[in-house]
Amino acid sequence: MSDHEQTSVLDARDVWRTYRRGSEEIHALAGMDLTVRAGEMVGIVGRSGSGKTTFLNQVGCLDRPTRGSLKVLGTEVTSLEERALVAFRRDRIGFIFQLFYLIPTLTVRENIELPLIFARRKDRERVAELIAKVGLDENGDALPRQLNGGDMQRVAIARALVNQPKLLLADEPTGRLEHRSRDAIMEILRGLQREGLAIVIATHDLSLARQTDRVIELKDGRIVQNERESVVFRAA
Amino acid sequence: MTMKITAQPGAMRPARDGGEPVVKAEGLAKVYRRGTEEIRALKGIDVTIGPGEFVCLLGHSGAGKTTTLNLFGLMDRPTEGDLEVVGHAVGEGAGRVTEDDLDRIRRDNVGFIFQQFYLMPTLSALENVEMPQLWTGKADRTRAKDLLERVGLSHRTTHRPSELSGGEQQRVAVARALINEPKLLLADEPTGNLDTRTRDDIFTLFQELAGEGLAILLATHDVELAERVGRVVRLEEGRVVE
Repeated sequence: MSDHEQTSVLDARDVWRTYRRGSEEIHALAGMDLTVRAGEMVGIVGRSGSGKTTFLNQVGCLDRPTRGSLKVLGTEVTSLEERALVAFRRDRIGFIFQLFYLIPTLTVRENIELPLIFARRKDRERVAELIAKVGLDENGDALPRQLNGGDMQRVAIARALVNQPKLLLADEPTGRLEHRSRDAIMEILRGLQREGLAIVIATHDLSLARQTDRVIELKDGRIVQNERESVVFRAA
Repeated sequence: MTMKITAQPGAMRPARDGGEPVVKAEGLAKVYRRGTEEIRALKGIDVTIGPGEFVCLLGHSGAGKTTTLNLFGLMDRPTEGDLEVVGHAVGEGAGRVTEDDLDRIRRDNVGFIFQQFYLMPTLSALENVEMPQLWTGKADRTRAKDLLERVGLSHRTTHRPSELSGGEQQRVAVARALINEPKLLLADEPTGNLDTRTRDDIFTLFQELAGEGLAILLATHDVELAERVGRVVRLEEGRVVE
């Protein structure tokens, strides 16, 4: 294994995802190449329908590419069986979403525990540590509806981290938040990045993407820009 | 202080079959404080729901529907008034009830369904259904499978929410709400994100469940949907009206 491969958390080579609708073929991804290293924060921008979420779903093992090679944490996930794929996702990858997806009837603490419970594990210390880490020490027993949007996303981040993933995937993580909460969430993500977590953020918000290390622009399932100071920003 | 409104005949009546009421609210009021402002979300409502009753809580946005569901579902505490949920007194006078008590009573007796489904995107349909039981140590995969079959999704157990239609996602949510064998099902605009045909399917499912003895309170602003429910409680500005 080369040095490059050892440090890359994500290595996508010519990844395609094709859906069939009747006799029509839709290429949601049409040959994606992307490498992300440990401790890197990458922004993926593009209009709705450009392939951002489809790409996150492939990387997050929520879906399978139609063809291509996809290595996540050194494992070629395209060749994993369904059961192994589910276990891989659960143990190795964290997700956060625009709508948080907290369970309204569970407390903050229970929402964070959720992935552990599915793995038939318990780790109260880890949960307490994460609650402190995202700044919610006072709110462990609160229900989600008692929190504001920014705090709900903090809970979701803690839940995403409970299995100690090396890769965090974020789909429009601040899309529902006001500016102050958005900045606070980005601050937390940057702290995690400094600890070595690789983070991929899909967003249509260029000012958010601008805060990442590297921005990829997608159009029609392909990368059209891949640079630090891309024309995306100059145009914005 | 509370203005107690006497409910209309349709809004309060003895439980069907003489069974113990599943919900009994008297003079129930909820005041929220936002800074120095007081928001009186509920101004003293009386509602009783018996086993097997299917009740529609109708009202515009801001009328107090969600506040009522949150109180009945023990997600929040009333400011004033009496409230009994499945025989547990939890109202203003029942000061001994702790948050843990509320969590336990809720978990053992109440099922919830929401407009947004709130399924976990990373879990399969079956895992989403099992989830509420994982904290009680009573996880029962067979029951979860049976419930998915009950809602017509036995062929979708390993699918994730993104692989299901809106109607199928709501069916998964219904199965999840039933996993703890609740006596009371609270549904907040459960068909708000569904097309007409799917809405009808979910509605029929509710009617069947009520027929089996489940008390259902369905909150909606959809008058057409309300017209199909046997009993309607109409809320306006925090009061029951007719």
